[in-house]
Amino acid sequence: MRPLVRDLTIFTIAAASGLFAAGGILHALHSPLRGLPYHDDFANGDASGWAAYDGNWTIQSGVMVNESNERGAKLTTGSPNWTDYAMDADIALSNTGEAGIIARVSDAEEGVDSYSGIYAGLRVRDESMVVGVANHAWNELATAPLPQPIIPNVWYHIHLEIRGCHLKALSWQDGQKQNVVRRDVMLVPCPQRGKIGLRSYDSGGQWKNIRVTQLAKQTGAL
Amino acid sequence: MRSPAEQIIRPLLAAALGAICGSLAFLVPTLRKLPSAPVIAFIPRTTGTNFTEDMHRGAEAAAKAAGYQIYWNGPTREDDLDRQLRIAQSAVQRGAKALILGPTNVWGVTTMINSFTARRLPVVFVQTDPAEPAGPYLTSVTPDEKQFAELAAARAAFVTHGSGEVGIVGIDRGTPETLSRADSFIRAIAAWPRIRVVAQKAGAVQIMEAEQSTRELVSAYPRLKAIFAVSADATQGAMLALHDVDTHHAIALIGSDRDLFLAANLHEGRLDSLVTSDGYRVGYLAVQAALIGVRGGPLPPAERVGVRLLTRRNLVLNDNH
Repeated sequence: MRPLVRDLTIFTIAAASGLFAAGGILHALHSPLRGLPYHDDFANGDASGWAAYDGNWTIQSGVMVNESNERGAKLTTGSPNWTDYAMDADIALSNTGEAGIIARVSDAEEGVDSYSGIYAGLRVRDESMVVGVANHAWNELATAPLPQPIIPNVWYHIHLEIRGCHLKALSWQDGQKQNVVRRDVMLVPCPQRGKIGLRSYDSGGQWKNIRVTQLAKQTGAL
Repeated sequence: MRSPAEQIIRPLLAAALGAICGSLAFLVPTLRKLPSAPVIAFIPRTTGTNFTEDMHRGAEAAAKAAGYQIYWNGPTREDDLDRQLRIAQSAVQRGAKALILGPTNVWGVTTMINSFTARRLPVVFVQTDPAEPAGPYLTSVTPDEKQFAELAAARAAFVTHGSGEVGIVGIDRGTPETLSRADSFIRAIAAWPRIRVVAQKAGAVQIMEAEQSTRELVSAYPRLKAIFAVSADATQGAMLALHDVDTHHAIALIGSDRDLFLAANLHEGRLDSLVTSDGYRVGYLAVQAALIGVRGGPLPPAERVGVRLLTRRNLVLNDNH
């Protein structure tokens, strides 16, 4: 084979290999399954995987605490490519404001509603579970009154499921799962993918046992 | 005749070059950014309150009609000047064509604003007037604070039947509209000579501070008939204090601006009344003014937006219509 033809052949084969390799690597990096299931119990005091946007966040005995009463302090982690997943957390509030979890978070920055994503949390003011969507502005989608007033520093469980554009949020006081409140919301359009996070508003808060699990794709109602 | 080294190096180079070209052929299209609409930055004192969200909606409507985007962000605390400066500077560095600002502290933003206007960046103030005089690159769209205080004074006269002691809470020198509301209130209430303004309590834009100063006010003046709270946070703080120390609702609280639950509090009777301006109109007009500047014209003069008094009665009427 002539050297020029040989080199061109090698170049073509290498280019095709590079194309497929880059595609494969990118696909693997962007996989919605990467890093799932996820769990953080803050046991070793390590918060290096989390990024703070406002707030004063510290780990105290396996609990992530925000001691600031700013409006809309956020702490995010996970993959920007997570799509359909369920997030669980235990949350305790102080005697004002609200605290909760955020999902499919992208484009986060300092500021009150400065992210794109879905929020589910507990609000002291009207003693309710709140579900809403932020897109650098706030749009409240649903509230569910809790059966009893929120007790400061008592643990509540919150569960948020997002499959496609269907949201399902549940909450109950620790040890009282029979008093669960639930809201199902269809949100179109909706944030497509993103990280998870913790968020508080006008109050500090406490979070523990953060879990994220992949959901199988389904059609129809939740 | 080629050397053996050349016979090895050339294929290796061809392979490396091919791999790089192939990778780039895949990666470059994924990195390309689509062109987007020009941006006007809108940075209020904070976001997430009814008033600011109304401004946001008005701003979005005006920007959309002109083919512009709004970058909307604000600090998580109304008194966080450093963060507001950082957000505003970052937005301008990223290419915002104009800045609409509700300053956390009107004196604290002066240097930044001067540097922007020196670079001919249009700046429109909302929520309060700038410390510097308006000019071709600086103007404001704010509530009519004189009318604001006159409505509050008339309401105070109504609830006190024209006589008795009233107090003012929430005056903050960093937010001049609280000062002008208090001053205009005192001037307007002079029309009822048997009403006496017994105290003007200072307080930064912090709910807890307003709560504490309201407690002190009620304690010092047990015959107090009404309180005018000159900001939304002062209203929240005063309401919290009165919930504890005025259980018989003997003191009428006249609040300012709409925040998250103030309309609901009015409905429940925890507030006597609320003076408020049209946030949507403020946001809409601010963007329209900014667009004039973006298109090369001098900014229009400062504009005042009308205000109104919300009571439980007209709130119900509004809800029903």
